[in-house]
Amino acid sequence: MREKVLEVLNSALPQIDFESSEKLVDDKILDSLAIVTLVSELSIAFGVKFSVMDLVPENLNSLDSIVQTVEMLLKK
Amino acid sequence: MVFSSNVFLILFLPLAVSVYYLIIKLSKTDFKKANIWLLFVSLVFYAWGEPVYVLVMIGSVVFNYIIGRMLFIDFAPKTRKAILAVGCIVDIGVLFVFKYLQWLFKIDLNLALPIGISFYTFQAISFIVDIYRGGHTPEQARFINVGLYIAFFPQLIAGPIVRFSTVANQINEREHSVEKFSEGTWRFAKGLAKKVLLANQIAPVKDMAFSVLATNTVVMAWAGAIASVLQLYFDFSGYSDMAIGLGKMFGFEFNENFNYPFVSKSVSEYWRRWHISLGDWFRDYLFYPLSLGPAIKIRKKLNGKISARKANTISSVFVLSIVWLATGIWHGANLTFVLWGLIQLVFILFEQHIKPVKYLCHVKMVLVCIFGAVMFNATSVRHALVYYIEMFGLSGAGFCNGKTLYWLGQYAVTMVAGVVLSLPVIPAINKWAEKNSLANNIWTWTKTVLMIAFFAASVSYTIGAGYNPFIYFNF
Repeated sequence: MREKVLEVLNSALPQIDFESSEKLVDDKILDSLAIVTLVSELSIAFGVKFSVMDLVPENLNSLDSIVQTVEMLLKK
Repeated sequence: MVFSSNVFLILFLPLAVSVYYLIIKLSKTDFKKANIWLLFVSLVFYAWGEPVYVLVMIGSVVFNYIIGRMLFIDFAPKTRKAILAVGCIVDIGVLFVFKYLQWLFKIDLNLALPIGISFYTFQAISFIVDIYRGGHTPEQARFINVGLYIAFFPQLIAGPIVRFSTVANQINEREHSVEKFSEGTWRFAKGLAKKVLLANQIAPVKDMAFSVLATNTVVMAWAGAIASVLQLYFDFSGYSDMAIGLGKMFGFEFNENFNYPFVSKSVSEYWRRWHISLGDWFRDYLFYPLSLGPAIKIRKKLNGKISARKANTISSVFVLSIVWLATGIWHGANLTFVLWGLIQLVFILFEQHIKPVKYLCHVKMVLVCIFGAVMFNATSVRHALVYYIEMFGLSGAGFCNGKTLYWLGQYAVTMVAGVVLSLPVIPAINKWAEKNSLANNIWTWTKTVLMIAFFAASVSYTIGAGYNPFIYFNF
């Protein structure tokens, strides 16, 4: 799962190193436009549906938290 | 009532604060009683300037309270969505009637714009959407709490646009301390000085340059445009400082609204530093919902037909166009604001594809601010275009003349002070002084003496000056 998520993220936002930081949102590495791109690509790749409440920094701050969020949405 | 008025500084604020702390003391920190007092003084504050339109605001409080209570009932998801939609449509509808109806249909209904309606309507929408999204209790959404959240006088008429989720807990329980109160008064004094000693003093240069058509020299046109940027910054960030300071004096912590916007390297960054609460509002209540709804549908339809990059660009252009059109029009019913919003949009879209170049990106940002401010301050698109012509020396008024030199001579010191203080010079000195205890002591005392002097000067200017409203009241 981790590898597949990383592949989707790298393809959608090649300029961002997702493994470099644990504070991708807090450190403004991911801005709102990047978040939306990331979310649409994950929605298409995994068939998950994000809600606005899912777009909190805790869910997107690191590759691990993004993977956990996708896993959580897949279970819904 | 405005913060920089005699009646506010000498009568309203001392009375509001002293009775508030008396209630806190006598009731052994019963926030329910203290909140009733704060709501009462907030209504007096608003009714002082808007004796009739205070009813519109009270109507907004009652309506959104009812919608909020309905959203706590365990209805089916579709019903809850419909209740939220009704709430948003009515809120936006009232704003539309007062702000845009006459302009859009070119009719005169003799309807003045209720002060601060754009701010408190956005707070009201924040309340019902936050309740809809969950994580709040009916206890947090009691009538007095909703009333105080929407009508609390520090942020009521010109922001910051406080989110319900930010203050929901603080309304029920907040901390008071001497340190917090003194921090609040310091912040208030800083904001008052920004407004009275900088924004108001720089304003005549802008007023002079924007009051004439096609007769500004090149230097005067540029000075007027720069003055308009500085005036807007000190006026609005000064107001935000005062609001945040007043909030602290009553125990509230509001989010910051400005963070030295002129150091930005891009328009996107600028909007994370300028009127932060508005940018955040549009992001969370318009940009994200649109991106996760219609934009993802567009993206999915385009999947496989064109490259992912192109599909994402198309869906983000769709969403950003709506967001920036809304941001522009939020500032006023005028085509100039629509175009100003579009200028921001064009640069944000370009920035997605062009890497920033050192120094040049700052130059670009300064120019976007200056040219954007001309559109923002012009009375019509024609006025803005003529002003641009003046800036490029094509109006025939010449490069500089005696009148221009006179104006610049009068206001040069204030303008330079404005430019310096709009940059993070004070934080830089703070950081430098921290390294040495003697320097730190000297700097702390210097700041204290200066702030007292500035506060005294601000109050004396306020007593001597006439009515001088804040620019953002008109939004």
